[in-house]
Amino acid sequence: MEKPANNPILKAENLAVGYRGKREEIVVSSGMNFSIHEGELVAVVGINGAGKSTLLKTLTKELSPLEGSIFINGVSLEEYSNKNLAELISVVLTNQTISKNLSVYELVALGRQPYTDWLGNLNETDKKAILRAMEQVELRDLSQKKCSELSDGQLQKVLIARTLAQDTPLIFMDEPTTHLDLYHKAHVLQLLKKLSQETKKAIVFASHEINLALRLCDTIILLHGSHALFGSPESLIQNGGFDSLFPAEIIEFDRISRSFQIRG
Amino acid sequence: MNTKIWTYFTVGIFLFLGIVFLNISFGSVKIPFSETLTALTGGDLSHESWEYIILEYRLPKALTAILAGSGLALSGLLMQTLFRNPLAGPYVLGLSSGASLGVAILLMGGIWFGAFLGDDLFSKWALVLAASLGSLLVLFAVLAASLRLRDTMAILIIGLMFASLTGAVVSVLSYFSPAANLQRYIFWSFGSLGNLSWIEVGILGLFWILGIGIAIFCIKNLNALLLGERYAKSLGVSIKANRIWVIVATSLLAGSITAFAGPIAFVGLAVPHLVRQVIPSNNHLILVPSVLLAGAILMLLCDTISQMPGNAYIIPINAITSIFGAPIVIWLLMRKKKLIF
Repeated sequence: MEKPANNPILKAENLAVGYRGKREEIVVSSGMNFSIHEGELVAVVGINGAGKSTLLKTLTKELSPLEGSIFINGVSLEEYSNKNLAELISVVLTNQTISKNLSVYELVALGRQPYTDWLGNLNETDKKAILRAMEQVELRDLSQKKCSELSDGQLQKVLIARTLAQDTPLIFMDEPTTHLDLYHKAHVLQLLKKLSQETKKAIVFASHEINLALRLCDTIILLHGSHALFGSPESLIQNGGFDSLFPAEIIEFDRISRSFQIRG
Repeated sequence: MNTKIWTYFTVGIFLFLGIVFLNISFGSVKIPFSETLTALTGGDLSHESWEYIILEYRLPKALTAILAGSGLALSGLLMQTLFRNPLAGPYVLGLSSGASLGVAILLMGGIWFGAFLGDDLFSKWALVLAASLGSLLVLFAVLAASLRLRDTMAILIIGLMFASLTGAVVSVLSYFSPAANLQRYIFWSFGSLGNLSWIEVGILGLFWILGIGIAIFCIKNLNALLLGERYAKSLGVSIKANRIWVIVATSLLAGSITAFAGPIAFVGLAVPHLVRQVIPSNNHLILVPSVLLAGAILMLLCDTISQMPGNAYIIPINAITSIFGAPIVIWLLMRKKKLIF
């Protein structure tokens, strides 16, 4: 039953992302080639404005690529309907107007929508999936709490549980660790690491936490200038991909400790 | 938690039946409770006029109150979820302003059309037609806008702009129209549940069933929208199609009610908030029936108050809903100290 490891879930070929204006195209990043396999934890890193969110939006079909193509399980992204995609891709977003009046259980249960009937009734399979998702992020005790009563870190975990309930092979997260303190940042990223290994789902997240990403991720997509580097943390360090990410007189990359240091 | 909700429903249904009975029993003509019960169960009454009053006047009025209250309350819920905004209500689509414009042109602008428009023009059907045409005009404008716009919030602003525009036209008409016509218009704008014949109640009921039916098909999508549009899309919801269905359902409900009963304010905005304070769930599968029930109860209650025995006059329904409804909403919000939305 072993799948050949070279069979990627998601593959991008010569991808250029950006926005289409009325007169011109604004290319944010181009010439991207990468593939993502099951069970991988992938970080999309880069400075502000490098195109992390744009890339994620393109990969989830919110934006269409300016050039190149994206394949999921070998089929072009354009050929999937929203309904089909809901069973392949789930997302954690930032700054959404989520109703805080939902209970934790209700919010996680919404992840089952692609599988429920026309009224959204939950069957036994759905209920099991919801409970399992809440267990995987250690939230079962909170299941009847309202989201308005949760801390930011807890809410983030609830949103992660929702994607697990949606049970998709691909999970995309836009900055899942913003607004969290250092402990919770590490905690959430470790949780993602554990989930990707246990559930064999591929988790792709955009983040500013390069130091943490270098330690925990299998693969990194580094957006720098108008081009992108793709590979394991080691190979990117070897290539010197991080050396010129920030102005060297302020922040420099230390290859030995594999982390950025502030000059002072 | 589910048993709690069933308890609320049971209490609600008994409350509803009780208030229906009270509503039919009260009126400017005093009819004993026992006689009302006989009339409702199909028996013969001691006074023939009583039977006529109950079957031809009070029963259609109670039905109108039920349809209007529940329909407006559901419209409010639909708008509040679609726009993710606690201040939204049926009025944000500008439907009642459109209806007002239609009626204003008929009643006050009629003078410009010349003498060939006789008194017949001011019959009920002409009013209904004018209100419907006005609502439709605004509805098409809003729908056209919503097909082109990506941002749902912009529709909210556009709806309010249409309301403002039509309001201005009504002001100009009022300024130039004779007092008698102006008074007719003002009376219409007070709202009235009592003018409907059985045929009209039937037509209103048809629109009501259509509107509610469409809304029920939107329940699943509405739940997804509680997470915001981007999440809803990731769950497979077609945002634009859902937006249009929700707007169509709201228009069928609020438009037909405004056409037959006038612009009844407040119910649509307030009832969903009242329900959210009581019902511990945000699932539209529970919220939709709760809001329907609560809207019907509130409207029947207001109508009963407006015709309390010993009252020579019937107070306009529009005033009653706000005079009695607003303090209840304020009290509930003060008690819980926060807005549940």
